[in-house]
Amino acid sequence: MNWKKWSKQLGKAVKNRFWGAFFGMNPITAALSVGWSQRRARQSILRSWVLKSPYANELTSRLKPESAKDKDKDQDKGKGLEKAAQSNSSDIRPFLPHPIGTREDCELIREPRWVIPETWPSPRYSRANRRMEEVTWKDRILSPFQSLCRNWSFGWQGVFPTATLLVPIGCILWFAWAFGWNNSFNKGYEQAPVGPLTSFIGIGFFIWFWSHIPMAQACQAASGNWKSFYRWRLIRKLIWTTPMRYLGLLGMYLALAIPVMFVESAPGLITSGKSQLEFLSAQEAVDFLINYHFLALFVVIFPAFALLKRMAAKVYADAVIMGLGSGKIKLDELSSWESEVIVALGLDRLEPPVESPIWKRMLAFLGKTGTHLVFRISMGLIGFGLIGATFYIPQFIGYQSFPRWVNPVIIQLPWYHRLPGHLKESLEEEKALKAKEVQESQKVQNTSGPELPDADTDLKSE
Amino acid sequence: MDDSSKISGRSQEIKRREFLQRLSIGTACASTGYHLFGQDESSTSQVNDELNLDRGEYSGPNVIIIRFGGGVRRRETVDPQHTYSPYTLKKLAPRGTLFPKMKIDSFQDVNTSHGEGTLNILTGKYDKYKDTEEAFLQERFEANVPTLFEYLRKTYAIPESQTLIINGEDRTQEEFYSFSNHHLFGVNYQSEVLSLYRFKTFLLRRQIESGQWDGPQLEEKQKKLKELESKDYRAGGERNQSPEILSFWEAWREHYGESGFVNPRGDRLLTELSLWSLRRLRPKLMMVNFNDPDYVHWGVKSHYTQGIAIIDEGIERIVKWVDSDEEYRDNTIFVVVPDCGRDSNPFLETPYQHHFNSPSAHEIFGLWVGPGIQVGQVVDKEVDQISVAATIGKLMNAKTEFTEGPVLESVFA
Repeated sequence: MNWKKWSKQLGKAVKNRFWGAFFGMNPITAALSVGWSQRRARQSILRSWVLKSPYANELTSRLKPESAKDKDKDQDKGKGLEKAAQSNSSDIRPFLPHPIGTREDCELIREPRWVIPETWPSPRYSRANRRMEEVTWKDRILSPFQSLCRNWSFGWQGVFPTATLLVPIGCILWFAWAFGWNNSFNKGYEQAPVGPLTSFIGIGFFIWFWSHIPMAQACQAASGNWKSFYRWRLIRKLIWTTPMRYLGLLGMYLALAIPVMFVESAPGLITSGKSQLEFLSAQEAVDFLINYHFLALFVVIFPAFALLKRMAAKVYADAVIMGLGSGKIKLDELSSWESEVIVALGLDRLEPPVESPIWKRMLAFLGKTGTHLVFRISMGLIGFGLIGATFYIPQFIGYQSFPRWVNPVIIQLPWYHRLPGHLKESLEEEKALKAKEVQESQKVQNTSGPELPDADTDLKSE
Repeated sequence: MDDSSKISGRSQEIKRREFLQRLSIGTACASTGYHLFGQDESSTSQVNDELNLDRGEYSGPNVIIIRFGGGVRRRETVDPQHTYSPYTLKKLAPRGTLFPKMKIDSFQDVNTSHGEGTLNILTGKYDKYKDTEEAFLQERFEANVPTLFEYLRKTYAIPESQTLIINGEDRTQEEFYSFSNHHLFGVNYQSEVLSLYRFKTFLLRRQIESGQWDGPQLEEKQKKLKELESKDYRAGGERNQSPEILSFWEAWREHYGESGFVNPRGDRLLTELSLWSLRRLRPKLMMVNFNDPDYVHWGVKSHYTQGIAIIDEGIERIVKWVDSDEEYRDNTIFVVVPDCGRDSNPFLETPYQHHFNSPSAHEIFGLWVGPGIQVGQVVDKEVDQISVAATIGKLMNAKTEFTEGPVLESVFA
């Protein structure tokens, strides 16, 4: 691993985090981060399939320069594809079994960008028309912002289906919290169970739906169609194709929710002790929060969000191949793009990848029912922990009202920047006070100007 | 070993702390023939009578300490622009002396919470309190220096039932701050406590005694009673309340029944208990531990503002009752003081959600109203929460030799 490669990787990570944090400061632009993550998930899926393809060596070696062919024969396969994408697609097409030579595929091979396109417009092979196509005027005009437009479109398509599940559940949890404590405050013994029962219902729904969401989001990313999010039968099949790996993914959600929880809770604790932060003016507090939220997004929240989407994509890619190999999934259950790619890469004829011997032994020992039981119990415990870390603990330390309940940041929308309502009011009060001071000082200037009233008049007025 | 022998074996085990407590309490009681454990009501009153023999009658003013509790900020209480307690600030404060800059010492490592604040007020000394069993957030504290109740009852022949703590149901541990561990004072000079917890215990005892249950149901009820009694970490629930208090509870039961659904709830219950006790027990020194604003720990802003408004309403009812009673009118001093402040965290949606020892959590206020108190005065200088005890001691003419805060001389007319 050379320094150049490391620095390039580091630069990429910093760049991605910057954009993720920048867009995450606003709920509208945060959708761009979702879109980018969706596209990167799709790229991960494709890359994963290409590397599993029987043509993997052929695909990568043909795309490498002659001098590099001897080295790293089995390494950096994906990078070779990236180079292919950078070159003209007409060069790629003959090297790759169709359909990897289309414009969309070439763009997919490269890591998605935030604003500018992955590949600049050039004549490309059209799979639909089975011929080369010239660059259109529309392409030329939109090309500088092609990635931005796609991130936007994919982003909202990514947020919407997830929100249809998590927003209602968030509402239930929010109601249960507010009603439950309100009832406790009023000592409403008669309806004491309402709050806790509603909470349990919300928690149950959350665990059930959330446990499907990572796979559903990956399924949607792979197909590029938001409707794929709701293909529950396929999603459940995919989950049960690789249950332990999927459980690991769910565990990662909990593991990454904990640092996010600390980040979200920290503002509630930093004024304790002899801290002077309580004495900040409203403007200073706003500035502090903007910087803190950006930093939190940059260091923790967006990386966690992006990493989880990418991991889900990898689990999905493996689950599809294993499912096809084992016959649990049929090719026609996948989207047309996925099935075309799989056929083109020869993955439909692959033997299923061999499971890790440990899991195989474990699965054999536990049996199918046992696996289900372990999976469900573990999933419940992880989900319960996730709810604590995502909702209850941060809400207890620093209540953040409704938006926080309906948007778990590492699952739905990586938007973190919100200013407390009282701070906005204080800001306005401060501005009004300043304006008043300015007015008064102007008055004093006017009265102490050349037309000063005589001393007697002044004294009388006092 | 069978189950029954296990249980009996366990019951014979006396924890070291419990043993020491019993020993110290027992030693204190021995000289007066006071049987601490399992004593009946007549023996309690006999002990009181014996204790009162060599002490003078109290003829000074009555004092009602309102713990404006659950932690409140100055902004929502004594700031005219933002107050949620208009009666206290606009009607009551002009009748006395307001200290808008009272504070809890921030130089010592003092925790700003309810238990500590209550003991600061009662003992006049800052201390680092620890839970008796060092459990997290339990706050089962024991004062090392005497409380105001002890000073008063040691100086004057005031029965236990005329020194009262009115406590809420959310913080049961504060019921047992009624006496200190001090060797010269202690349990003999403690105050009585009125609370829902006490009523529940009284009611369950009475119900069990009436023989309305038998078999497993009786066992279950006895177990429940044990659980309730076990909350008394000072005497293990083995002390009965005085006959006056028991008859008080009888009257309460007669009026509100046994369901717990008829009587007022939350801090409104504390107001009601205060009014009942003023009418029936005629206390000389009473502390009302309001606590509703503390619900804001869960983040719902209205719990804080509503809590303050409920306390304000409670203060108004108590003051109006006192003003209407011949014996209490012109002979009762009100001391309104919060247990602690709350944070002013600009980064949170609910800036006053907690009291994490921030500078704002040290900021409180004090209001003094009554005979001998300067009227219409605002003392705009920093004073300490621990000065409350010494000042009350001076007002009641009881020597408070272990208090550390200076007397607030500017209070006196």
